Amino acid sequence: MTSVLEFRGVNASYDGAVVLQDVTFAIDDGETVGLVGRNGAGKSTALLSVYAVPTVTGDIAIDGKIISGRRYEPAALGVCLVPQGKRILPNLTVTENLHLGRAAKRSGIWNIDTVFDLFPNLARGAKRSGIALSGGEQQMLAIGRALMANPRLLMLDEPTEGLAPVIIDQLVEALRKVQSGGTSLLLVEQRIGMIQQLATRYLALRKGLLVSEGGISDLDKRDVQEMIAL
Amino acid sequence: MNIAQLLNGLALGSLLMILSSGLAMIYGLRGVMNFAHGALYMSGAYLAYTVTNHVSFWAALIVCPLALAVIGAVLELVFFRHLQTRSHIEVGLITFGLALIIERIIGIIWGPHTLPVPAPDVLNGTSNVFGTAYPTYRLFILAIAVVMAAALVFWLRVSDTGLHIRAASQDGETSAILGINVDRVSLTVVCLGAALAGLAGTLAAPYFSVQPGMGMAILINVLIVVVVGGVGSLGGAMAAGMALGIVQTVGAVWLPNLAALLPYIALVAVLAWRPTGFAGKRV
Amino acid sequence: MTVEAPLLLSDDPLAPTPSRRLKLGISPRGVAIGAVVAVVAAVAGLAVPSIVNDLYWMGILVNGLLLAFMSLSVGFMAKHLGLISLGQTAFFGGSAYLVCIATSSWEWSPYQAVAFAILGTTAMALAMGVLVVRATGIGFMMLTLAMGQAIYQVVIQEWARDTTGSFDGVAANIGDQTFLGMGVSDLLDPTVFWNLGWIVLVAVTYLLWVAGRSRFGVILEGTRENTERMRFSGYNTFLPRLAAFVFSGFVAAVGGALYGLNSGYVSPELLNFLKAGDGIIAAIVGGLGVLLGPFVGAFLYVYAQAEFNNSGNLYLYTGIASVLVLVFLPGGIVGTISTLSRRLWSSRTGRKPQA
Repeated sequence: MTSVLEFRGVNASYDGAVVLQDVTFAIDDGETVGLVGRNGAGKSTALLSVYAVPTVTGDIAIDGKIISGRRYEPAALGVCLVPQGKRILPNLTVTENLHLGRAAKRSGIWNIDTVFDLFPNLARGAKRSGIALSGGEQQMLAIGRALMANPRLLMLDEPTEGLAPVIIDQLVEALRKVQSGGTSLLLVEQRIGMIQQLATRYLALRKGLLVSEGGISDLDKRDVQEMIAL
Repeated sequence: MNIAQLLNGLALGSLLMILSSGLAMIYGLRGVMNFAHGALYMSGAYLAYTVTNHVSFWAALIVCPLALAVIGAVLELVFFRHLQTRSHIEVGLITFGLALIIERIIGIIWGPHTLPVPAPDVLNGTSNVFGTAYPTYRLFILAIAVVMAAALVFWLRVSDTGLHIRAASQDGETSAILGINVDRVSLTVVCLGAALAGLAGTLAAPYFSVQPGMGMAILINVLIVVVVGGVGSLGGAMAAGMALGIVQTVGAVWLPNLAALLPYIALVAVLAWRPTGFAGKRV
Repeated sequence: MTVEAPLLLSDDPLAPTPSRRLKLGISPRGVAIGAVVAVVAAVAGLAVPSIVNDLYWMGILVNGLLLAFMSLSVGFMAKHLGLISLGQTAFFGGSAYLVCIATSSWEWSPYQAVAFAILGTTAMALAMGVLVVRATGIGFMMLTLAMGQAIYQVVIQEWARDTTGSFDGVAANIGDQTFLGMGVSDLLDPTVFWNLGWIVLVAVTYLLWVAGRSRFGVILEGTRENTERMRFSGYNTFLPRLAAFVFSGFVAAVGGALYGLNSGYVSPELLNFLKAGDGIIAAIVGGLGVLLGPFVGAFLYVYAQAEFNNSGNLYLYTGIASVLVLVFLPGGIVGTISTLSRRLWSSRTGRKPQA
């Protein structure tokens, strides 16, 4: 069975500065994996590598097929990103932002109505423009936008950054519903709390290298935490 | 200032509006300040001359924008797409070089003389506008421009491609990550921008007549319009286009000696006063 | 799927790195060596008319010489400021116009005319520079394009006909007077004029070289690399940039004055964008990153003109050549040779070329 997403010996660099070295892992259908590590360990870079934002060598495969390096290809193949900092298009409305997700032209359970069901707050402010939203609402919009493409794998980069605990709980609830739809999740977080609630497995980066992986309960172990330098 | 002068201003403004829309869209999406835009306009005008002579002006209105769209496709596929990593100055310089090439090719094919292009008979008379007899053809220009502007804005708001264009103009990287085929969107925009330049040239041909140097002369005006209107803003470019057309035409009546210099003064004023450009986007 | 770094204007490997040179500034020894080279070159060049015994080719060479002034002025700003001026014809043509107008309408002597042309045009460069230099990048290109076109528009206006002759142009009227011992027929004769032109060109190139390597040049490089940082470091970025702009205008003005003397006639074609394009193309093809690039480019350009003119499509080919160079050879011809030779040097000695 081929994995949804596979990294084989991936190196990533920005302007010659190497951020990831020889990273190899696989995400399977239906599983939720946490990617942990300190600031600067290369977590965001790993996610962005799928979209050829850094300079990438090595193979990245979606469903066993190595991707060509065109930035807009992964979404169409079912791997969608909720970027760090949300990256909402400021001059588009909530509805328009969501419709962007349809560019990937994939069908499934997620459409504008089911997304609004998942995030009722968004539905109330559907005509507001992106910049008028609060941090939590923007995060929901970013997630909803990615869901509109009906991804097989949803990757989230630090979704809880700057959010109040109450909002974080709402996000966890929403992500559980996403999980129940069969979508895989790759969750990048500095704080392992959310990961422990949702993931079954973890990957750990340290200074660009994959130093540890295992079941989610292993994250509680002291020696594992020390290795990751969490 | 009388009605005729105002309408002349609107006619010129219409052409500037059509041109600056195309330039603004190309800049918004590709980050390219297309110094060849005047040459595209000129190509449209010269092609209109030939097509009008052999077929009709109405045929030119269809053929010339389409032909220019093809040239736009060449620009995008051969140049803009592959030069994305180059600095804006370099790409601007390349477009300037392309402008020189195009203008010289036109000179070789059509020669150095001013070429007249007759408007179709049905548009050739005058119409009654608020009691003044005004050349119908110029009203035609105004009408086409207004229809085009409305259609363009509507299409951008309503269609999926329009949404993708607006998104990609704001944040190309995120748009691509979301799955928008930014290459295809860029091709659409550049072809559309070039077609609009061709349309403007075709419309201008019976009004201004066709001559060498028309490309560069209008380019300055269009650059001014785009900068004054706000480099990121299509609506601003449209409004500024109309405004500059009126200011320049009316100014020519009141300050005939300075009229030709007004656009340059305006550009210097805007860029010197606000070197970062108007709408906040760095020029 | 790598990201190709642009080499032309933002990240020039051929320019001296500020950190290394800030300590050096200009050394008297360097100035002296440069002066010796310049003198040798000047004297050697004087032999050219005897070697090239053909009036037609001498004419071509003088054209190249005059074009070199304009392309050097474009190249200086491009190399040190990273800015492309699309309107240097305003200064080149403007100076030529002033020479012709002064000698004919005002009946000044050639010396007065040339002095006035150069000084007046340089003053114009100062006035324009104050407005233009505050813009960067594309804005600067647009402003200089507008500047060039504005001068062109002013000259062709009917109300200016008395002064500028509008489309008819202006003929210089030197009569019996001489300029540095050359009468009218001498000035128009390329084999004689070459000597004056060459010496001035070498002198001006030397000045540009000194300016480029001095502390002034280093500050300019810093301004080009990172304007923000320079400003925060306490450097006034406006004045150096203005000075560079005026200096470039001065170089173009000198060339224009010589042009006025040599051709004895100016017309608006000298001021339009096609002519501006000549200077820019010559500079690009030669190479903007190196001082001598535009120099070489200008001569290549007029040579190509002479060749292509036979087929009637000269501007087309030169325009195409410039775009090709811009796209594929960002360093221009001289720049590419320079990079290649550095690579050869490093592969032979095993040493890396200093970045």
